[in-house]
Amino acid sequence: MKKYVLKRIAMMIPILIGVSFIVFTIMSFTPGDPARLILGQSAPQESVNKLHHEMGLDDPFAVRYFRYMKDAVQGDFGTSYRTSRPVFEEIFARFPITLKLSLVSIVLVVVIGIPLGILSAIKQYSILDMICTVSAMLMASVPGFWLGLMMILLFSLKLGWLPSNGVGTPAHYIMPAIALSLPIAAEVLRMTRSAMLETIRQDYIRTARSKGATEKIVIWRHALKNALLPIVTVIGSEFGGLLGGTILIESVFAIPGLGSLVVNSIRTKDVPQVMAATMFIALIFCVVLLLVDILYAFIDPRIKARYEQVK
Amino acid sequence: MNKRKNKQLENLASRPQSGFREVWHRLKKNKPAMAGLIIIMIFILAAVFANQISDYEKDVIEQHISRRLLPPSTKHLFGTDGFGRDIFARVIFGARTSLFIAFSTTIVSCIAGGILGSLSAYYRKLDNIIMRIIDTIMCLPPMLFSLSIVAALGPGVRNLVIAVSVTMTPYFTRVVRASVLTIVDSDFVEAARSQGAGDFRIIAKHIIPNSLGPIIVQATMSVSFMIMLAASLSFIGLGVQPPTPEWGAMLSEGREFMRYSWNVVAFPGLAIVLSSLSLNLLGDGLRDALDPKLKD
Amino acid sequence: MKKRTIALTLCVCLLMGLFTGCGKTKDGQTSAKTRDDLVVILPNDFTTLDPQMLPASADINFCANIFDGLVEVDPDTKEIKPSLAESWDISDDGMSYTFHLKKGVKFHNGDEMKASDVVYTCKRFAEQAWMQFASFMIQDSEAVDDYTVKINLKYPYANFLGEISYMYVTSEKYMNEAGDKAAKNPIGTGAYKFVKWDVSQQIVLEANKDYFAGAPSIKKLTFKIIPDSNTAFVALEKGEADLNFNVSAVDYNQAKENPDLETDEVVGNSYYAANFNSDRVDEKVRQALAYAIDKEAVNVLVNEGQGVVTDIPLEKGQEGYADKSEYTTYAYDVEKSKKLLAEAGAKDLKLDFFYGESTANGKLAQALQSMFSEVGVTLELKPVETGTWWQMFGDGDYDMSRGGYPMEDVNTDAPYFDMYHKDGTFNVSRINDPDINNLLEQARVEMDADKRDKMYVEVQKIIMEKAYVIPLYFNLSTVVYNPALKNVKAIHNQKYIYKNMSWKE
Repeated sequence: MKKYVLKRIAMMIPILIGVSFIVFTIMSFTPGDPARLILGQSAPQESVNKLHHEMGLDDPFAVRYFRYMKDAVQGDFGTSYRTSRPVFEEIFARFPITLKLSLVSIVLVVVIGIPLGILSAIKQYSILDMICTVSAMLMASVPGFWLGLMMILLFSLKLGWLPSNGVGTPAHYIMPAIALSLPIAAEVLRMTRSAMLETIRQDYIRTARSKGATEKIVIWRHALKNALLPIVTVIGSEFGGLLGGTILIESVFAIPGLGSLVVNSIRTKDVPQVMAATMFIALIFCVVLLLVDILYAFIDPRIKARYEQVK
Repeated sequence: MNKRKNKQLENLASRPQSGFREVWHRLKKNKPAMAGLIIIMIFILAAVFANQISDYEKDVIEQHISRRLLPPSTKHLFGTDGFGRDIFARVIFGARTSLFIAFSTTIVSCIAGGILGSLSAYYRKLDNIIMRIIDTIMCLPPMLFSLSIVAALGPGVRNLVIAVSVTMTPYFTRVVRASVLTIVDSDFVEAARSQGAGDFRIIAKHIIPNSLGPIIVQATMSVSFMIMLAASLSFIGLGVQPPTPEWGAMLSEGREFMRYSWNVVAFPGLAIVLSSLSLNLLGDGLRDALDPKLKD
Repeated sequence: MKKRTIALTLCVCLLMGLFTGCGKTKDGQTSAKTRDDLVVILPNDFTTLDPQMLPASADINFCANIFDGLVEVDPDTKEIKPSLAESWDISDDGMSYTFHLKKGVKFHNGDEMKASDVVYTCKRFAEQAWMQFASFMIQDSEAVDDYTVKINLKYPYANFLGEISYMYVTSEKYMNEAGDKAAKNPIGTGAYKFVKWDVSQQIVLEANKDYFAGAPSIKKLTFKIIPDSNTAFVALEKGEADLNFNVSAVDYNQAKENPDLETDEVVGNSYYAANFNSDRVDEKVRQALAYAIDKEAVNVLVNEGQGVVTDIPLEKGQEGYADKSEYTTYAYDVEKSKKLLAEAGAKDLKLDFFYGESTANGKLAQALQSMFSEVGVTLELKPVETGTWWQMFGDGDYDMSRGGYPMEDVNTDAPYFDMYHKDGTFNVSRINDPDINNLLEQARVEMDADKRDKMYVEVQKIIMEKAYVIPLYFNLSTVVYNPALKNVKAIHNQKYIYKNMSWKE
């Protein structure tokens, strides 16, 4: 088991390098001179050129990339062009907010998606089932930012029940979390439903039924446990995605999270900040996926056995 | 688009396919999917016949101070926006923009993904490299990735199409690859090869027809995702530029008025929801129709 | 199943724990007791709170709460008033200013403000690229004694005192000790002390009891950062905030009708224009297009009619202000525009229009696009990031751009030089007219106010005749606030000083 985890951690490194390369390349094509941004509009062109040269921005792509990677490997990810502060300062300031928002969203996903999924599986083909399925489709088709706007319109502007922006109290997280969670909840609902249905059909459940166990125990114990695997997969990968920053919701609700940090940094060509933030996001994503896979091992002993076969 | 749905399609791609008529028959029985088909056809027709429904110059482009921010009425079905332009007309022409972007990006991603996927499955040496790159790209949230590309290239429809295509190609690549992998080792390909058929011939005659099913499903669902992605990018100002009407851009413009003129954000938003919903329903139905085992 | 229930319960408990930590009670309105705190809305966060490192004059204005300058400009009378300097002498040649500092003024950390601090600040002020707009005339400074500072100029500059008001005095000792941290933890002499800064969320200040001009009435200032205008306005309406000077035009109209909110307005100091790149667009075409713009319509579309349409980038009372009759104006005339375009031989003309991304700029761009299309000219809109926009002026690769300037209270030299001189840092029109260059250079060192005035009028005449720029409007500076606040009025450069405000009993 340990070997498997170590191997997975080792695989994160080429991915991080790949991500850094892709992002660095894209940023090289982005217009704008960071030297000009730092010095401002009134600065004479000569000072800008001088700073441009001092920052090493005149060097060819490969030189700049390797210089960045050399520093990064030693732990120096540079300072933001915009704020002149170490890049991780802002990342770590914003990460807890994104984390909180993601957690609340995932809780909502679980609370909405799984029970409804189970219900519609049990009552397959009933009206409830149809309502759930269609609602799930609807939830998956609504753009989060539009839903966010509509909610602000209704719950903040017209009714005044909820705060419309920022973070500060638990109430602030409700609407953004709903806007984020609904599409994912829809996915989880449908998948819980189909996973439950598939398992219910399995022979061994018929066996359990014939043994006389009551319907409820049958459903809960056997079906749900097996359905858990795909559910955990979805939740894991979506959670990783949520942590990566949810740009539009942050924009609509004025939430200072990772997403808006990355967007603003990209737009101001704050290359060190973009690099650090995207690599951080990619890393978190990989870590979450790994945690999900480890969780698999606890859910299903067969998978654990497979991991232990890894050299 | 998410990795799980993509994985499901990969699985689907690895199973044997059924004939076209059977698929259509199964699809017809699926009421929500048919509803989706009808709705998206309405949008497509609206986009194609937009000029017959409304006048582009008069309703969509011209600004009229005297009729700003009017609520819905018989004269202006959806009301007017901050520049006095008819929202109904803009939504209709917006369908043209959104659908054009969505379909062109789908086609580009399809072709690029198809080529990469086939190459990857066919030539094992390339497989490793290509899949590594794809895994890396998929570690970045798609919104972020396409955003950075648009930021680098500049706003505008052309760059939007490039950015979204590059972001979506990995998904197509994986589906095609899965499909091709099953066929590559199969008997009749062996037979064809032993008869001296060249690689391209095999790909064209055997592989592509058999992969079509999952690709179509992926395409349908991608179109819906691309509509959202394009709207999202335009919402933050990085997509379509004025005066071209686009649903996401309309939402962004309408934000400051939304409290006093709800129609300015409600209708473009509804357009996005309906077009996306119909495509999702259709795509889901297609997936079920293609593999009866997946259907409940 | 039991295990899972336990796990779920644990998760819920964990989440609850996370949230109680960050819980904050809403700042409600206490009607029984008079309040002593104030919540103000800011549309954007600052990159730093180091007064010499701020990129915009609007941001620098914020520092007026934490720091003090040598002098202050009275917002109503535009007079120069003493602040940290209780008096000053100007040398006969106008090249040297000697300031006599107040004694016993303490920084927030208890250290006394001395001449050495002023000299330290002045050096930074003169060196920092961001401050060049106000410090370009400074040669050097010296501490004559602990309470006397002499600042020497490169040439006599009539409005030096207005410019030096942008210099907020920092503590040399603290800046050297704190280094980088000073930017996030400012120490000044001002009416309010810095308490905390939750990045992108809020900044909190508290009253300085030992403030040399008397402790302010309002004891605590909370600045909430709310970029979205809708949500900012709702916060105001619900009483979550007490003052907002960045209310959108649409919301402002609403605010005027709302009996629970008080409003005030005054013509702002931000002037907006559409500029042609004179290297690329001919004079005749420029003049033709100037006729194509309906400024009133632009005002409605962009500002809900709240801006003040203008034909000249100056307000009455500013140097160089002249009546419409004295220079060429271009009244809205579509036919004339088409005629001139035809004469210029411009058929199917395509121009690009660059601007920094923002809602207001976007609206302006679309309005212009529509008006130009009426005369047969296609305007391609190119929104760019602000940094890129700045870079563009160096390269000159554009046809048109949005221009404008935050006009000074009393100084016409700095904006005009920046906008119209060949060496100007904001010469969007890339004007290089020898007459204009000469006039501006002479006016810069001219000490006689009347002579200067005439020179600026001349400059304006040339600019309007050649249609380098199409001046559009001045913004309306509005403020919406809680009616229980006293001493609040709209400030035209949005430099709101909270030390003078108080709550009604």
